[in-house]
Amino acid sequence: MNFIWNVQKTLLAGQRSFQLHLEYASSCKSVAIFGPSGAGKTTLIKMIAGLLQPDIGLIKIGSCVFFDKKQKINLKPQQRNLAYFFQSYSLFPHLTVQQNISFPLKKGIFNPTKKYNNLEISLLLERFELVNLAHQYPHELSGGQQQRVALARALITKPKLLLLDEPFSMLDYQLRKRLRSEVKAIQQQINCLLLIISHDQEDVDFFAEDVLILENGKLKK
Amino acid sequence: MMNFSWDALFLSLKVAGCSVIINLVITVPIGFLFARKKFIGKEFLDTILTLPMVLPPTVLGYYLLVLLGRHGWIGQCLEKYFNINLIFTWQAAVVAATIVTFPLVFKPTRTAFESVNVCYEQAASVLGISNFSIFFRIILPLAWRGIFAGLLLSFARALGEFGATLMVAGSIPGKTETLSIAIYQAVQEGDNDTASIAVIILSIVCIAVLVVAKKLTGYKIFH
Repeated sequence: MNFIWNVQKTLLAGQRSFQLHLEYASSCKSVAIFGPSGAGKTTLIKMIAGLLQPDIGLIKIGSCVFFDKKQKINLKPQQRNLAYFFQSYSLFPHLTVQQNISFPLKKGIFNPTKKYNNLEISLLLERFELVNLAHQYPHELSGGQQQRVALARALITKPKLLLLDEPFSMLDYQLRKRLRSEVKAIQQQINCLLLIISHDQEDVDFFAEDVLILENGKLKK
Repeated sequence: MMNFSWDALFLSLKVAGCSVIINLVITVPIGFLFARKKFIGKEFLDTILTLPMVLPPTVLGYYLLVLLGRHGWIGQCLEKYFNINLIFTWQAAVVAATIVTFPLVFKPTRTAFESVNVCYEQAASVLGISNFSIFFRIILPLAWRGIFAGLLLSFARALGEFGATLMVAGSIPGKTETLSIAIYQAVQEGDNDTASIAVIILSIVCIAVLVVAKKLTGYKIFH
């Protein structure tokens, strides 16, 4: 099995409480998550990324147990070897496009310099049509350009699992079509699992071998 | 007769500089703790730490005298174990300036850390960067303007510190007489020329510091 999870989580927002209970197992390599906003899609992805802890349950991706309440296993986000494309992009505002993309390649307490470059970075800049924007700052870019930077940054780590939260929403039709193929090509090249949240039926058709439909924190299938 | 002493200006700069460095070392971890962690009594403690901003400096000076003096709780310990007597030394002036200006650094530091969106830290952690590195690579670069502006303000305030300093360090010319105290002494002695020069120098330094602070806090591209 590539994806196994059985998790429960109660979220409190003021007076409101939201119950999430999801059970799923699949040997597919690419799975899409579909559902109205507020259904718990991003919450699920955050639990898989290790940014939110389930109350009880188990998360196993590939051969790696990310979380197991019974055995008291809870890997840090840093240990999960995954890439997460945030809906809000979360590009670092004080770093240029090229520095943002090379950010994960440099460990330690210093950021990559503005000139830091290698073949991998150049290739991604080219693939995502960012060559002319390499030295711009995120606030100087349009929504669609920021989205492409965030995608490139997620892919450069060569993750075992790729989590994409609405990755093409800000792109025009042509670019969306092209970037889908790029992402799929990279996915096949680095041989990683893919979990994608999208409202776009074409994304789902293009990527997913299986589709999960979420409603009110439950699986609707 | 003009009797202006550059020693007083250098002492003021030394005291203010030391208090800024101490405040930087103390407020960065405390400000970060207040911005990111939840604990019982947090807001109460915040109020206590902000008190020096509203208490009259003479009241603070009195507290310090009670604590640091020969019979004070800290003063006794310092004398017994380290053979140090702080009262009427320039180091006492540093302690006074540090405490009086602490809220001026603590408040903007806390706000600066709070204004750094948690999503950047999450993004960096998923990308495999350790929390320690995230602090230096993401949080500090995004918060430093606020922290630096607070430090500059505290520097200007420390230069003008009078009440608390006079109470714990006294006014010994060449030893603990800072520029603002020297101004007071000059006026008392009717030496208006000396007072005028000292006033002009202190004003210029303070204006310069405020201009830089304003420029930095006005630069809000990252927020």
